[in-house]
Amino acid sequence: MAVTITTSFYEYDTPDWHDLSTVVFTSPNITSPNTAGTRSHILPGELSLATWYEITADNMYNIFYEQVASVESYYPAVDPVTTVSGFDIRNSIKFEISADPGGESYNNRVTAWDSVTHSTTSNYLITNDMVKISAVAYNYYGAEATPSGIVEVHPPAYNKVIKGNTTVSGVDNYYGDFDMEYANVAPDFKNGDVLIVRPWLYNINASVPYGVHDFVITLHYSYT
Amino acid sequence: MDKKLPNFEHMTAQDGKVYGTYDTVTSVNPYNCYFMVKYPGGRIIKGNNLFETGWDNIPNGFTELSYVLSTGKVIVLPKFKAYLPLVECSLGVDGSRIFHSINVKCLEPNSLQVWKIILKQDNLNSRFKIGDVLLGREPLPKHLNKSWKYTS
Repeated sequence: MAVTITTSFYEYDTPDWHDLSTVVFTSPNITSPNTAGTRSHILPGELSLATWYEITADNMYNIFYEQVASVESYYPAVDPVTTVSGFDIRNSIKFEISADPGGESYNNRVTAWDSVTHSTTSNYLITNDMVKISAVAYNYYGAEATPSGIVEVHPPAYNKVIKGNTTVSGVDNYYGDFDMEYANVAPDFKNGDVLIVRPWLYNINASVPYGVHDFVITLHYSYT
Repeated sequence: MDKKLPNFEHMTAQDGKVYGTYDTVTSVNPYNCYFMVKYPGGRIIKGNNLFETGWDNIPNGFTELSYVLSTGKVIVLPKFKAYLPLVECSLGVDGSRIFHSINVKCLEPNSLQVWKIILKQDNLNSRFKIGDVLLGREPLPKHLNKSWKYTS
């Protein structure tokens, strides 16, 4: 059946969950939260880049102060102290099938494209394998930060390069494929399924050309 | 499903344009694409659109399945024992959305025939155009879920 997939993130300032509009990689030397659209045009390699999650016409929140690989753990590692290198539901982008109308999404894949056409990877960061994610799909019992149990829907991938919808030399350039369903139904009444994705940029240094390097992280899926 | 399409511009009843950094995608108008099924006695049920297709609400027992695209093209599928049509789309974290194809899985005795109906084309990569149909084959699934609909 038709599904509605929401995209949200958690921030510790309010604290609260919000709908995500943009992931921004810019200076860490901006007060968080700040007005959406605030940017600092630092030169590649001159400073570390922070990861910000933004709400349309609202605020942006600093989630990571620098670009570092995920350690190989996700929940139960939800802990603000470890968010520099951790990977969990509260520092990632959360894709979730909403209760209304519920349903299923098939053949889910997470990847990156150069623009809103979702059709080419002609982007310096993507073609040079600089866009990476850690991701896992699962459902759980209890509260999202302190679940009493989790069941993997698809095994986690850590620090995986994503670039388009292809498989090259046996290596998938995406995270997937797997099916998700709305799990809060009888008899188990679990929460989810959720897909959490933590994006980061690898090896940003002085060799990266100056400029704005926009790209889009997407979830490909099918439904009836 | 959220029906916002922030990445679409110049949407007409027939199609819409999505302008990227290097390429331009032309897509069907997803509000004006739907399936039609015919039942014995002449009854016809028309689907809604690509956001909420309405497929899961139709009864079994139809005699013909077809798809009407916003471009005006009508694709009539041959009769199989059962069908499972899947709309393939991509959702950006920025809310952008592209509808790629409708993949109709058709049940045969020993395998599935898959009719892939193309919903978008772009300037750089597209080998196929809107309304083209690609035929493929898949092994039988272990289970047929409730979304499979059977013909008469």
